[in-house]
Amino acid sequence: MEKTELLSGTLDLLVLRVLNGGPLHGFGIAERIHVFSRDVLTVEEGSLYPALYRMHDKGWISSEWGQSDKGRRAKFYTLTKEGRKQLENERENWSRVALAIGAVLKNA
Amino acid sequence: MNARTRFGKRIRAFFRKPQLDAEMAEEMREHLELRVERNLAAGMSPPEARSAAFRAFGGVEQIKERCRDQRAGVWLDHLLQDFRYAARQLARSPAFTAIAVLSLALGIGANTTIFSLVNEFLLSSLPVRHPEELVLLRNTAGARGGGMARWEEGNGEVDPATGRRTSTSFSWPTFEQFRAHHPGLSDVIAYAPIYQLNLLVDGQPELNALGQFVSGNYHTGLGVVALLGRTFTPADDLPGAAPVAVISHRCWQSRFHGDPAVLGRTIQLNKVPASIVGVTPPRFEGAMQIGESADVSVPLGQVARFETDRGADKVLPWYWWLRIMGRLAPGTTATQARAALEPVFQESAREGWLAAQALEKDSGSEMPDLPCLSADPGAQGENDTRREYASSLYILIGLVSLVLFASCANVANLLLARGAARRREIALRLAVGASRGRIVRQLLTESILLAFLGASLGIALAWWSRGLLLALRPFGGTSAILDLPLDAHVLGFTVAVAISTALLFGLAPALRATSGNLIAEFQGGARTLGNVGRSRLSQALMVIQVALTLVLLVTTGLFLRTLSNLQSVDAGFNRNSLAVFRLEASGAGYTAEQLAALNNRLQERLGQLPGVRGVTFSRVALLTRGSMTRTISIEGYTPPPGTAMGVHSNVLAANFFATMEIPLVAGRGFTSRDNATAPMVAVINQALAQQFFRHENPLGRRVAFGGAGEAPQIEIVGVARDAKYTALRDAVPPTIYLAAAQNPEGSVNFAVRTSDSPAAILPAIRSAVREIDPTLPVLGLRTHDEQIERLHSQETLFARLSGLFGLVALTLACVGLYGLMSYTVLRRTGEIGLRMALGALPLQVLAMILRESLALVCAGVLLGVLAAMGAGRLIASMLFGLSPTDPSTFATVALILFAIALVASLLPAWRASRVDPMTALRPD
Repeated sequence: MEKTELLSGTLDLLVLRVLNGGPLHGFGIAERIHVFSRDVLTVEEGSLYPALYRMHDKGWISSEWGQSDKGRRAKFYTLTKEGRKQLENERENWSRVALAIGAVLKNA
Repeated sequence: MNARTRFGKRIRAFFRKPQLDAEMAEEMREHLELRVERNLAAGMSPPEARSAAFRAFGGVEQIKERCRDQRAGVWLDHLLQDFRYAARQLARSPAFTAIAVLSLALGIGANTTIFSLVNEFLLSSLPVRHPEELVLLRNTAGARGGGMARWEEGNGEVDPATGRRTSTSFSWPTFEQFRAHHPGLSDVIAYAPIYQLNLLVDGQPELNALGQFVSGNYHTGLGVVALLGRTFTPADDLPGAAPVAVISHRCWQSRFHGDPAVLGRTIQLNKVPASIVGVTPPRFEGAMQIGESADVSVPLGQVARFETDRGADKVLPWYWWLRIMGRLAPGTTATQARAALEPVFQESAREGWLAAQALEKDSGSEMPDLPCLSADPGAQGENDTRREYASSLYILIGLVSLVLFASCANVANLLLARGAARRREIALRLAVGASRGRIVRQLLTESILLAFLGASLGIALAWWSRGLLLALRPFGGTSAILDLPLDAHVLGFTVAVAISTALLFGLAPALRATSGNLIAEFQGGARTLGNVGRSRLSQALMVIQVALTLVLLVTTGLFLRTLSNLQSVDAGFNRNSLAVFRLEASGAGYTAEQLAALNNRLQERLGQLPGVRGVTFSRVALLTRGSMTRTISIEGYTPPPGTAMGVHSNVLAANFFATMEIPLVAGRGFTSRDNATAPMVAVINQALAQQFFRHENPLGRRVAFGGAGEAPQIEIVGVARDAKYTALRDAVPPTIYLAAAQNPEGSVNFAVRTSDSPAAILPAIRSAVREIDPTLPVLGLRTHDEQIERLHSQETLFARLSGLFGLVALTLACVGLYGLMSYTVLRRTGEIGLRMALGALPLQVLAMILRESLALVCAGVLLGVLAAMGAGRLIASMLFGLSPTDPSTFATVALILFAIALVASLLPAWRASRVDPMTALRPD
């Protein structure tokens, strides 16, 4: 399986987007990103957790301890109102960048 | 999320750290477990699944650390880490910490104390509603003709810039007109001190009470709400109202012990009973000069009742005595208010002048130019005293700043030595990857911790020394009732000083300790030959310390010599064995005829006390800065145009010259025959004779008071030797003396000449006066020596403080020099050993080290002399009998410094001379 590096600055966007679907624990977030990207993207735990703590500190996500599917204690992250706003911003930003890059690749 | 909840989250996170750490560990463990399960499900063997999971995850501890760095409150974490480390470092060297903290405590404590004085004198506002809206009205005489009042009471002075007279006193009609119509002001209030106050509480006279008349709207206008009872209303101001009084919180506490039943009690004010209706809140002392606390206030409208002698005149338009303050209406500036009120004031002043003219015999005078009105900021009330002492306060600030700089230099030097000793530790920390910034931050944290320890001790020191400072009565008698709160301003100042001193003394040593070739620290130790950078900086600091010490000690020397010069100056009368006191008899209800009888009885009664050689009195006491000046005209003498005929005057008992031992150089003194029915006579002093009579004989010439129109009828019968009047440092002014029997006065100062110690007789004097009239307070009873001490309280204060600070600086410099030289010798042991091996004698080594030390002191003395010569100009006006660059003072101080420096460096130098070349040259 080929590993593709995440573009810098996109991790937040992906995490926020994944959490938009509902509360998840850290492992779940990594899994979901991996699956949604059709196994192309792999999130490094070494980047994921610091990112989660940072976003938590900024108030984009909140956390609480709950039961995982297997009935074990796990820490679930939820998108907050600020987080939803942030997601919109980042999504727009991303579309602009993607369009711009696409335009360069097509015309240059 | 807003900043506040974020901050709250940080603080919470900081205190929940262990719990958060545990949760993080659990979260990651859980993650790994899930991964392992997933791997197992994919068909791996258990050990394989586990190791693959760990491989994929990466370094758990590193990730945790990176998460912690993301977490809220991490900066607080680091800060606390730094402080813990700093505290451990400081605790490891208690001697260093103790010396540094003590040295900083002295510097910071001295600054806190003086700042509390500055805060109270220059910065604080009246504790009233919106003090910044208040204006204090002031009048300034017109360009030509001088003032328009016939009689004026208050704080008048001549503005040195324009030569015009200004004052804050106004007439009653002026206030009435302002009160009736005050455009631009929302309120106009008036008040005035009661100069002749006799206050009886339970029939006992109060000694240090101060009273004031206030307009009925005084309290409401200022926005002062009664703590107890009520304040005045305009109804209290009506002439027919029952006499009532409002007392201050201070008076309530000290005289009535805070008893709530004080309301309704009756006090006697100038023998008029007045009932207490209210108590004002703490810290509100009225709007008079700082230090003048109005203990009791009575309604202005009742002035005629409380002052039977002058009260009737005080409502007339030529009697200027009321202070007027206003509160600016919303949206009005002081300039607008002033412009609106000035025409009203000028018209009122003109009416006053015309009314006064009608009373004069010679009514042909030309009307002076109309005076101007100004509306000064009134947030501090009357501020003449504040301004007067500002320059003294600046000198004090200068002195304490010097101490602070000296203690900073001292601590910086200690830190340099410490940094040098810790080079190995610092090199190690840099080598294992700490950034230089991180270590500088760490070292600065240590400095800040030191500064805060010093500041805490300094605040304790200030708390304790405020009382001592006030006991020195730095600002005359009034300082007794000041209290210097260590409020938020003062504490804020102290914190600011602590932080800036920490940067001042900590930054250079921290930068120095982390710079340079650190690798060398790991190579064969520190045997360097010659001086290194560290000692260059140390030497510079040492030079500065010596210079600061010299400035402080020179200041001490100059003030000590000033005091000794003042002590030995010839006063013109015998200053020894005198006791003095003051009586305000007219306030106690005495009429002019009764006054003379009272004074005679007192003289007789006090004269009978054992050990009393003579009793006399005068209107103005000598050497109290008090004086009375009059304009005179002399028969047959035409003053050159433009010269003022103002002279000092005093009214004396017949035996004044004999008792004070002022010899008469011509003619006679006063006798008992110079009474109210006899022709008026006067005695002049030599200075007056010299100024107006030159080579003529003044005896038999006649003078008059007032302008040229008066008929001269007072005959000069004698010339007395010059005697100091206002103060020892002032020249003897031309003075004319009048006989008390011919000029009865309501307020007199007694002087009692004793055969031995005057202090012992003070209680007997008090009880003798009480026997004659128990309602008559004996004011300012003390020995004349104490009077003189009070006269020179500022010089004494400066001498003592600069002496104390100088000693502190000297001690610090001594310790510093000893430390520096010891360190130098230690560092140069190898070099010294080499020199000795090559044939240098121990004595030569000793001389070498001493030479180095004295060279430093020499540089410091030179720098200090230059600085002291510059600073001397600032205190020149306070010195007496010597110049601020007095060579003998400078030389003495320099010699003392050299001698002490020699002693401080003798031990290190001796140690250097005992270096054993064999030991010194042996490799480590």
